[in-house]
Amino acid sequence: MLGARRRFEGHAGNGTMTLSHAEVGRIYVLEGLDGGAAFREKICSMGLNTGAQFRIIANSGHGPVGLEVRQTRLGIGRGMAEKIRIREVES
Amino acid sequence: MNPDKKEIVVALAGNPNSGKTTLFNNLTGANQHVGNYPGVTVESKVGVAEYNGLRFRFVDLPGTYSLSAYSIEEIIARNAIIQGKPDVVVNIVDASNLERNLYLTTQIVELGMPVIIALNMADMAKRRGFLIDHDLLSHLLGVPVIPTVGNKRRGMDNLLESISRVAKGEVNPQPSIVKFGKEMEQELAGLGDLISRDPGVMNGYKPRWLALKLMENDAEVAKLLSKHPHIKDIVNAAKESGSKIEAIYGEPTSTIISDKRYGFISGACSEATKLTGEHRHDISDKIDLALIHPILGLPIFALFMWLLFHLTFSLGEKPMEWIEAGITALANFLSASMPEGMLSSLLIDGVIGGVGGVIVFLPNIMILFFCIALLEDTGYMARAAFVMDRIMHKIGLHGKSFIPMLIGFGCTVPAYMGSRILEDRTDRLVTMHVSTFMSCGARLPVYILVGGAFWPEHAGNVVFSIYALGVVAAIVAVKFLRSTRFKGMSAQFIMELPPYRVPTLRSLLLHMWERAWMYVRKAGTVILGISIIMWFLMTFPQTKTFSTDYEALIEETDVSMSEGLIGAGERDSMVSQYENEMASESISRSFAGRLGKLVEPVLKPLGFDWKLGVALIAGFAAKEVVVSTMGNVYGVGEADETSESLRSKLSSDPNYSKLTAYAFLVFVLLYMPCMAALAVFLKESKSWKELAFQIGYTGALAWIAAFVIYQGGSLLGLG
Repeated sequence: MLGARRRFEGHAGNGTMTLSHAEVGRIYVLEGLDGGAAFREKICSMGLNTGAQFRIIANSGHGPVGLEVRQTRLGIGRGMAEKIRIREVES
Repeated sequence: MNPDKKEIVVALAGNPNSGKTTLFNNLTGANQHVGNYPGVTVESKVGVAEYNGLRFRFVDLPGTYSLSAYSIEEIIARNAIIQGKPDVVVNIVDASNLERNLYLTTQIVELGMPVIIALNMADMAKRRGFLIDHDLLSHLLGVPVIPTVGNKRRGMDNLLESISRVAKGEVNPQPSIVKFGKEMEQELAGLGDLISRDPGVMNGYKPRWLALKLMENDAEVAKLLSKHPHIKDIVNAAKESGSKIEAIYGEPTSTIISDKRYGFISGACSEATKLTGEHRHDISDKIDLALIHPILGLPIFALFMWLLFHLTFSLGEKPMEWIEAGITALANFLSASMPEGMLSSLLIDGVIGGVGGVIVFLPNIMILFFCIALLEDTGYMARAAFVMDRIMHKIGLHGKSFIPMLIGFGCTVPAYMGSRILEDRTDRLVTMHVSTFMSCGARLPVYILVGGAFWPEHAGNVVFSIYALGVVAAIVAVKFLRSTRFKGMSAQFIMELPPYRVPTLRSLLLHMWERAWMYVRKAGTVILGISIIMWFLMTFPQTKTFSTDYEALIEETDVSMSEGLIGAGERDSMVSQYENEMASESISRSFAGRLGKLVEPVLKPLGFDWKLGVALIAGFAAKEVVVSTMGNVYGVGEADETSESLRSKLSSDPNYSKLTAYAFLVFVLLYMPCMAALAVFLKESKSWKELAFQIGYTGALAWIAAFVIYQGGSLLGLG
């Protein structure tokens, strides 16, 4: 129930949200990955592991999310972005 | 290195976009060839180089981010390292993106092969504000680190020197292995001991690595160890270890492993890297603001695509004319210097007519592939996939699917090959099945011919409508496939957006050449063979007695001329008229003509007669020969898409209306790909079933669409 609501709103109340709800220009830190082992390894191998900080470069609410992590840019499909938990970093 | 061995075998490993291919090209120059990895259809490139009297054999591994077993490229890369037993593994690392690139390095090092790091694009890192102390980095990682700048060919000699030293054993790297913490290491050691009880099944893999992979739930390693006599104990122990670790850390084992890897990397990088001031957002930032903009992104993409096609066709026009002139000159030369007969007919009508018709498109193909290489090398292609993913995903395709589909406008053969960039097999198959409808360059002459014949004023619009219809057909087909044979969604999009770069001309030309060569090879092999077969089918059995005595008519004409009743010009045109009618009649009685008549009942409801049937059968062999076959069947001799005589023949034929013409164009657009493309389809899909499906459903779709247009149009009183 809580999980469903969190996915719907994208916020869990304690500052955690999904990547799909991230705002362009802000900096976030990766909290966790809600997917299978293949998904986790794919995301990690491209530079996004737990604790990695990144900046959002594109997110229009439709289509993939663009972000910059470890001096590289990634495009991540919306479905995947919904399985990536993040938290905003106070700047 | 084994002293008897004459060659040093070097495997090149690295991330995609790390500059691996450029480095490979620098090292090996033109001495390379493309092969396939055993058992799979992923291309492997091998090249040789000489340095200081030593011979090097470089194997270019697929670009990967990891060596897990989740994608075919990763499995290939790690098997090539472990089973290929190279003397040295050179890991190309993009210095401007050090941490992410070193993630792969930590995994290569675990395999226990001698590793050298080529620290590539250090100049770019410097411009971005990072100064890397490569000696310190080498010390921290325990492997030689050689700075290189691939696109400026810097550091190549140092790299070769370092490789030969490591291969000869003069330098013995002691790579630092990432430690995963006391608890984890204990479990790994225990598991490793259990596995090494039977060294026979280890196949050269290190026990610690096997243990690590088992704890990561690696399916390939589990398969490998299934022959182990103690496999049950091992699997149980691995499960136990896994749950122990997860209980301690409260996270999946694989997450702990990757976190430790990044921890090690961050430590090494922060020590070896100096920031030379504030990290400035480089030019890529500003370009991306526009190119992946939520509103501007798509129109910009559309503009680039329009430019791509415009350039392909307008720049290609002149060289096409030259090639055409050359082919005509060659045919004229042959017909003048050879006695008329079977051999000259085979050479001129069969070989030159068939292969020449394909080679004519080479300029278009080369320009198209040059533009595609430009989009790839600058870094725009990934952005285009990003922008397109929103639409493609809705249709049921992957963002990256548009790349093979785009190539399909050039030629279906490389389009099928290009679908390899999709990791998911279902995505790959769906993309291949629908790429067929992206109208290839070989179908264009048919549109120009028929469009020009029936719509002389609006030929351009007609041709465009056919291209657009192809895209619509592809979308409909995806919807159909996704709701029937390939249920479910496309795989999720994840793609690196590499920094924008100014591409080198050398690399662009190389890319273009690789693909153009594929096309030329097709012309020289498959199409040559098919042309000869078609010539045979259209020439035999030879007609001895004609319905009309043409010989007598020609004689009569000659007599009329000698009596002064008609002029020489009039005589010539009458004679060639008789000769063409003769040729047409002999084709109608040939094998090809009989085949055309055999399929006529099937094509009748579409408004097609046997002549169009013959052209379509020839097109199954190669789309390029549809027009030249029509030239033969309609008895106008040599013909191309601008042939006026063939156009007037078609438009004045009482059997054909505008409806027939449009139905024919749609049929040519949709029906099965040519034989060369089908051969590649089978090679790529590795499934006869998929091949049969491709042939069946495209044929069915073509028939239905043409039927609806012809019958529907007739009912509405059109045409």
